[in-house]
Amino acid sequence: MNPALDVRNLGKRFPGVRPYPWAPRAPDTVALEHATFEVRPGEIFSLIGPNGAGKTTLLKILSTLLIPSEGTATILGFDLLRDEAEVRSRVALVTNSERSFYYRLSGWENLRFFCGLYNLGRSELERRLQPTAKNLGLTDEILARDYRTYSTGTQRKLQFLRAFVLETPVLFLDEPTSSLDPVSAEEIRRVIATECRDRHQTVVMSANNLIDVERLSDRVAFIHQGHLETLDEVPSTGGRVPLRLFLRAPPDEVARVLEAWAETTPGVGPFDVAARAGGVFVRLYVDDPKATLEPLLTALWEHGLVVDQIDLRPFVLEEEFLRRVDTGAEAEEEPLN
Amino acid sequence: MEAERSEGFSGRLGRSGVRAVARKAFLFTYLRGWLVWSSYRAQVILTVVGWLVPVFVFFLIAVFLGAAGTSIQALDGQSYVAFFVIGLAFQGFVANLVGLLAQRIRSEQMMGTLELVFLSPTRPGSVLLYSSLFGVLLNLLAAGAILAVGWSVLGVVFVVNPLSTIVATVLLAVSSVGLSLIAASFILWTKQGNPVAVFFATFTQFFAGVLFPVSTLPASVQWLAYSVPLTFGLNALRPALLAGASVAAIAPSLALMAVYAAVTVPLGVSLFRYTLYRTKVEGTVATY
Repeated sequence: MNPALDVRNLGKRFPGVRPYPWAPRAPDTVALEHATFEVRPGEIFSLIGPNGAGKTTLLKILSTLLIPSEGTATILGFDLLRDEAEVRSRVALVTNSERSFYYRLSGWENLRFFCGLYNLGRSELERRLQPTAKNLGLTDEILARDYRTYSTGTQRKLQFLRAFVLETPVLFLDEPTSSLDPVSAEEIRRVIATECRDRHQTVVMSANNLIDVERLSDRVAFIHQGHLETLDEVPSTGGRVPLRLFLRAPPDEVARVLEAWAETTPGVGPFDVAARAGGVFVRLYVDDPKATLEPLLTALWEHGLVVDQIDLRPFVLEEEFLRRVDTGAEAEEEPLN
Repeated sequence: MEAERSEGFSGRLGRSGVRAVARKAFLFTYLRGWLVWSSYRAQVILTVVGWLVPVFVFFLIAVFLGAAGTSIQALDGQSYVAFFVIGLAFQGFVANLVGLLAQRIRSEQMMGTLELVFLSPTRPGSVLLYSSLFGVLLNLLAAGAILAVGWSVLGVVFVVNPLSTIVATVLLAVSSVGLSLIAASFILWTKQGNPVAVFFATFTQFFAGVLFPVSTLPASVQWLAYSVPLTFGLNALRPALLAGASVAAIAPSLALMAVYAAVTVPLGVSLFRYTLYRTKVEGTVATY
């Protein structure tokens, strides 16, 4: 099957600017380097990574709003640079900004205007609008009101509605549920999970809210410091439950105790120990947290190690995220000699 | 084989056609143009007042100087009031037209809609063209209002050749669009500060034969008058509106405007394309 998106060695370097004409030019900023990945038709593909990692930059390049410094990309077989007009007619973007409508027009007038740019006429727009608008809780009364009267959540929903009704084969979502309350976020997720799937729409989304990624994504790519790595699937614990502890003790000692304990205890998976904020952060995966927790605490206690905090919430993707950011930070701190 | 074909997508949007052109013209003119503009009621009142106040100011100056209603040799026998009424009507038309696209881009930057507009399948050049429609209509209305005040209140006698007037106005508009594109390129790049629009909004009133004939300017600055299409436009429009001059009679001025348009429109289009490319490289399309 041919990919919907085929991205090869894509990079973006923002040229440094001169604060004054006589001042030296600031160094270039590398926002993205050698990004290579494919997205299959109908797939929901997520980009995760810390703020400033290059997620929005990548989405803007793919939606033709930025010109890459290097590499190539094709969308549905059309080259991003050579066939720009063809690409633009096949993609829609939901940005993470509320400032993307005319404040003095109603929601409906805004939709008419922006969808008209895609040659979507009034009757066709009305036909497409109904199911999605209802699912998002955007009634006719709300759409008749001026955009300037909308809450932040309603503004975001209108952005989604605009992108969904275009029914483009490819949809880019930049942090789809940011600034939304839990109910609205769930409405958005439901629309993505049902309507986009039904239409076999290819979705590429960046997300800081990892719940979105875990609930919706088929595959995930992690971006950190401009580097992108595709994970074949959304990370899972393979049935094990993550267990997180915070202690105030030397990291080496904690690691030594845990290693000895894990060797003699069944149902304990890999673990790692990281120095954090004056203490030690431990992550380990266990088969049965109830059965394991007490012997673990006892083992630590016997060595004079007192646990300050225990966290049993199953944030699998967050674990992966933190692990990767930590690894990146450690690599960054290594001396260059 | 392209994925789109193998997957049976038929979702390509953005095909053009007469209906699509008419729809976009309506959307840009009525929705984004008229509805947004008229929602600022104070602005509407002040804009209309701003069109008419200079006419009365210059009329009073003319009365004070004893020039009102008199025919002046330097004006080819026209009355001074008729001279400056037409001058002001079309100077405003051109000055607003030149600043129009830049103003639209600036406004879209501020509202955060510029990226979304450029993201659509409607080409950036078409977006600019559609964007200018409402402004052109509004500026024509302003010019018409000034001419109407000249006729009804100040006693200007018009002997209009409609064809010559339309041809001269269209050529004046087209030759100004090139400058408008250049001004828009400046704004897309610099975000604020527009030397082209500033020049047209202020200097042309003095140098383009708006309030007094170019021949009365010092010879050393007369070249400035002939560097802008407004001068040729007024040279064509005054005889067309006041003496019923035919197209043939004003042909030299029309030809000069056509030459001006032939140079500035491609230049403006090229400059705008390049600037848009640069902003996409620098990532500053939406920056304001």
